Amino acid sequence: MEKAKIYTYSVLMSSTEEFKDRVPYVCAILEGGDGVRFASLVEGYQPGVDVAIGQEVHATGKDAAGKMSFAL
Amino acid sequence: MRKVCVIGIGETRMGRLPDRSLRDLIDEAGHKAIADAGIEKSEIGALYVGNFNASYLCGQGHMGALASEVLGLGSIPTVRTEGACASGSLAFRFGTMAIAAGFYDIVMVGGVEKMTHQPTETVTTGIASAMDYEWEAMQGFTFPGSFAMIANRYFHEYRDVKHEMGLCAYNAHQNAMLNPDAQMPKDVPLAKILGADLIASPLSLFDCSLVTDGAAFVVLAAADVAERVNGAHRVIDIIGTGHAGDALTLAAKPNITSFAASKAAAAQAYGQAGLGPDDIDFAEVHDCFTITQIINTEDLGFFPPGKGGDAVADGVTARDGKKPINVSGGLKAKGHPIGATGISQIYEVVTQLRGDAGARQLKKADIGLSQNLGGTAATCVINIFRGR
Repeated sequence: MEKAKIYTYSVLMSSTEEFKDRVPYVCAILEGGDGVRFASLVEGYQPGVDVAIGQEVHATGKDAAGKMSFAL
Repeated sequence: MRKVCVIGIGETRMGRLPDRSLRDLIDEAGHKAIADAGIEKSEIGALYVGNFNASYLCGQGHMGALASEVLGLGSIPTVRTEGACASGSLAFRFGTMAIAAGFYDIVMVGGVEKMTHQPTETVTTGIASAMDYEWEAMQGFTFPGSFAMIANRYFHEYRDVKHEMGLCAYNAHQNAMLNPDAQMPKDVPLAKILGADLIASPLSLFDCSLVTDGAAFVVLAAADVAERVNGAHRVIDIIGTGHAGDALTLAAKPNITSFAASKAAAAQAYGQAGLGPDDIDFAEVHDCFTITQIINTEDLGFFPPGKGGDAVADGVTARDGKKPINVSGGLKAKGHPIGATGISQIYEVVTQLRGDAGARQLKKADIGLSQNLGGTAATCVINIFRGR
């Protein structure tokens, strides 16, 4: 899967112990080309960058757990 | 099935209570409920206690046995129920079913949570265990983040209701000012609510419910027992009860702007009661976030899909409106002691039905509803009560 679309998203300004140092970051439900939805952190957010439902995000490789990572 | 009634209620003040232990909270709320019921402890046949997070936040498991010891209930069976923020309502649900099925005549149910002694990130981490750890929490999801995603999708499918969400918070704080047990009885101006810092876009600080210490208990009895002991109070019948579930994760739900568990539980409860949404005088609904309150009032059938925000803007859900919502102050301003929240909602419904709500008493309070969600609506319990 090279690309996915944002079904919905939020920019998080506060988070858990594990993710608090990464704020602000984008969490999203993404929809792959097969229509299947999945939860994903989306890399590459900077304040002022536009994020919107329907926007395409692209795969950047797999993380340590083997899950595909995505970026704006 | 036997009919079941609420014969006793008790709760602590909700809030940041650093000097109070789990034992202390259970002791106060539990003994208040027993005294209010006017029964002997020896008449209680079983105890169900909702608790979500004490294992993580307080190092305390086995909550049923702890509560039984504190309340001096001897060797009766105890069960701790857990369904995230619906943990308390699950205790109520299973206690009700046990009496309805004839196992016991009198049952005590309650909930307790102690949260405020931990740093915010620790509480957020603990609460995040109510979602899928691997698929959601390890992708950076939090509960504010998840309901923020629900809000953004709602804005996309219907319209931006950020202003109406602010009005939900405003009403909650206004109502809480009339509730002596509320955590945030503050006259917060709407401009301050709407101008607050973002927590997870589009949710800002006042869109989020509170982190709360507190406990609430109620005593349930078979109808014939209730008629014998309930001299001091109006008898409160449980005329409908529903419990439904859904997929744990947000991504697995076909629709996230309406909650299937809520609609299914509501259908069960309305069906049992032989009533519809228009028959409900008032409701305590699960406003973990302001957007959730708006969606819940649509799923309960009070307003059409996408119109819950209009109802708030038109004053319908205010204390003096046609369908008062969360007169207690709700999770938003009375407080959200997770495992106790479902029971705290029932405490308010029963208090209103009895006519004991003081300054916040509703003029018409004969049929009330409580709705309690767990997770991103993966568990829902709904109850309908009628005062005789």
